[in-house]
Amino acid sequence: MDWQALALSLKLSFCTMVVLVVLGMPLAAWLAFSKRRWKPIVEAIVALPLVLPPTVLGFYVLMALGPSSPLGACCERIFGHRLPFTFSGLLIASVLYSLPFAVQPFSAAFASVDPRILEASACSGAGPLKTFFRLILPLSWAGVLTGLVLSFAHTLGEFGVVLMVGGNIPGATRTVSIAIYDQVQSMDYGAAARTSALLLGVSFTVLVLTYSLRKVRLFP
Amino acid sequence: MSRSLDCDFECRFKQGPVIRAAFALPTEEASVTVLFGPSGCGKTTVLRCLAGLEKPDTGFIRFGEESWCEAATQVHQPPQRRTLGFVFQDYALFPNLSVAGNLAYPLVGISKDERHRRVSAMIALLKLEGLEHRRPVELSGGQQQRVALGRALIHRPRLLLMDEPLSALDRPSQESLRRELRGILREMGIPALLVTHDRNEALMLGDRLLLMQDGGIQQDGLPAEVFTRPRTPELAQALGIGTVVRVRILSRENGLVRVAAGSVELLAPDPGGLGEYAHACIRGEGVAVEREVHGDPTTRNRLRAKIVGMEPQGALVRLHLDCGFSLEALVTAWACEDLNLREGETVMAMVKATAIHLIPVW
Repeated sequence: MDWQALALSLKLSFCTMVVLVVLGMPLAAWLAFSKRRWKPIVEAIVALPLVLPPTVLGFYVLMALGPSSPLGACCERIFGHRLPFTFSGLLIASVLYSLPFAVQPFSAAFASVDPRILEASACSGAGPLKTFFRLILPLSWAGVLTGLVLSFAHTLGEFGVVLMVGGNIPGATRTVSIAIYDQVQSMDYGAAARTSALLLGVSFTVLVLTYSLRKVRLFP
Repeated sequence: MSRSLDCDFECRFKQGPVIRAAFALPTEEASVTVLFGPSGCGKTTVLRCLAGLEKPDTGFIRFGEESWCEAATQVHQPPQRRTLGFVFQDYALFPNLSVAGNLAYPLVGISKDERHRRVSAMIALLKLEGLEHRRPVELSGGQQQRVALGRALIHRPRLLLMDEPLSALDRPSQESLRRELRGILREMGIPALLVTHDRNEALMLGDRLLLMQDGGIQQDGLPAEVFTRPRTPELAQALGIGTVVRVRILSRENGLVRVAAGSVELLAPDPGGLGEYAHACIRGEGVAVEREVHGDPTTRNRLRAKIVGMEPQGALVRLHLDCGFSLEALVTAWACEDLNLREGETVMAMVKATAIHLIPVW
């Protein structure tokens, strides 16, 4: 069992989830409530990772973060090192790859809040932030939880993007799915089976917990 | 200079009606203005525009010196900047907050002690003691209505807007809350604009009535005056006046006018300005029915009539009568039973002269 890879995968999943809370929630709120004509374009961009092969996404992220691109050069100046084949680069790729798994459930949950309640909040003098934190977020907790768990579980099992952007550096970018791939390549089927079973168990448990919690109605 | 809400605006809906509103409300005094009209005439749209929840396509809404909306210059103040209270038809209480949480929600920029004091005072005023920690789903319709009213009033808004606040309640709750609502509004001293299509609500709560029909305000006056003296036959029908009949003026004497309605004659107060013809509006409540069909039917608006239809309406029965023209009478179910009234029978209908309002035909 490659415990180092498992720890790295858990760290990556947790960090991805945290970044998606910070970036995904405002984006989801905008998608849920905006009436802009170009909203479908943003929705399509968010959903792209669902249909794009991970290698294609990984390739573009690799190119974008590489030293020859303006973005990559800028990131290098900020972080002091190149992002491809580092944990930071891997995190950026994971956030992009898991974006729809968080943003879509968040957005659907926010949109399902009764608009009359939002109007009542505005008429009570509350601004958008107060309305979001006091009403929208508590009333859409099930969708938010689903988004968080899906993005966590999805990052835990990702392979293609990780391989393209992170490579296979033990302790830095070697995640558990890469470790399984390595174990199979070196014909260590026993270790691969144990790691796979652990990943399967963790993913299954997380999903069962999520779906059980979603049935609990806090605010009927 | 007195402060007032002035508005003159239009809202256009795609493939739908155009809603127009032009009126001024004095907001220095705690009066209740009723926006009355049939369902679908645009009352709620007017209220939502005043609250800032809808943007008018043309026109303006001003509150004293403040400009809430100027369509021409794209000025539109959000609801948060208008400092008003809004009671929604379905209450729109916050389901995740308790009664106390809902009431305290609009209170910002005050100390915790002051917030607690104001919430406690509102709970006492609205008789919600013991329910502070309950969620909205655990409340009855009447209790929810009180919480919605308290939430709209607690931050002392400059204007209270209410969209059919009692319509979701059963009739006994409506009646008791109607009485209390009037007292609460007086005590809080906040001017209010109330939307309703309920005549009793309008009469009991309103100091002034704006009658809305076909997407515009058609008549403005004291509630009792508007209800008894509609300006046009169409408005009379919108106000629920059961009988509107075209009559010919026969003679005038001592402030009364004798008119011919179909084959019978009626005496009515002379409103002045009558020509050769008029529309006679007769409220069902002003028509009494008795079994005795003998005597002179031409005196004191006594009309021999045949019952052509009976329509039970709770404690009342609406009788459709044929007395040379179609006349409606509203009698109690008890009287109906006592007189043993049946369809097809002939009775004597007595129309109070004061229940007849004549609208000149130009």
